[in-house]
Amino acid sequence: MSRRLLALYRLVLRLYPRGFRQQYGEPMFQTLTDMLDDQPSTTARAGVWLRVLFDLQSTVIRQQLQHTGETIMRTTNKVLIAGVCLTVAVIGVLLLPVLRSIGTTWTDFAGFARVLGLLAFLITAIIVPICLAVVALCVPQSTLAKRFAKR
Amino acid sequence: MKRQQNQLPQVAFTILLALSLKPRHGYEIIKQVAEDSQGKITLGPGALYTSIKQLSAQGLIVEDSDVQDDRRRYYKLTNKGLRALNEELEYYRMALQLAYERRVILSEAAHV
Repeated sequence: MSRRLLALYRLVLRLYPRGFRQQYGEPMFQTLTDMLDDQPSTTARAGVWLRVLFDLQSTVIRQQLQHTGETIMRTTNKVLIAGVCLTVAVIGVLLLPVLRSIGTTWTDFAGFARVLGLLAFLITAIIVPICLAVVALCVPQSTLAKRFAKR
Repeated sequence: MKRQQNQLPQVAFTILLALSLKPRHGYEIIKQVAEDSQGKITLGPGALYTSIKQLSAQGLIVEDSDVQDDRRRYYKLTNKGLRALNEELEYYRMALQLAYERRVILSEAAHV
């Protein structure tokens, strides 16, 4: 039974990103084997498997997210990121007259809600993309990738 | 009280503490961490090697190639890792002292 579960664990290790698996897959498997060998009873071994189950679901997701982030930061051209962000900002600016034509007044709640909506639009469609474009252009790509990898 | 910006996460701190005595392999680290934290921190292989990856990337630990074991990989502290651990311990020592001074923690003598 335990041998089958260990074989299954080896298979599940494939869910980790390849780099992580190649570097730490074998030590992880050996660590689990050591953990199981050290347990005095079947119940204790079941406890280890339960812990491993929780361990897998949290760390696989974390490693995959980190890997995806690192890949994006490493492979995507920062000029392309800045270009996309600036395009979004330009579209936002072009849409502004359309939004203004809807009209904004402080006289009633609907008017107040429209002002809030306009502010939200300004922030998400114009200010944030411009900031992201500036960050993408000013910060060296290696720094971005390193910062992401530290998380 | 001045604190380093490169604050160690709790798990990373306990791993460094476990490696402060001697190089250890994965399961030895897990056992030592559980013992040092009085069972409060129980690591699985995934969590352990996620932290080991980060600590290695930061240059705080390295693989110890001197230990002869074909099946297991041993890790040891680097000088940088030892410095980081000492800084963290110094912070905790000062925090504890401050807590006693402010009577946040009552000493055993006060209980008698």
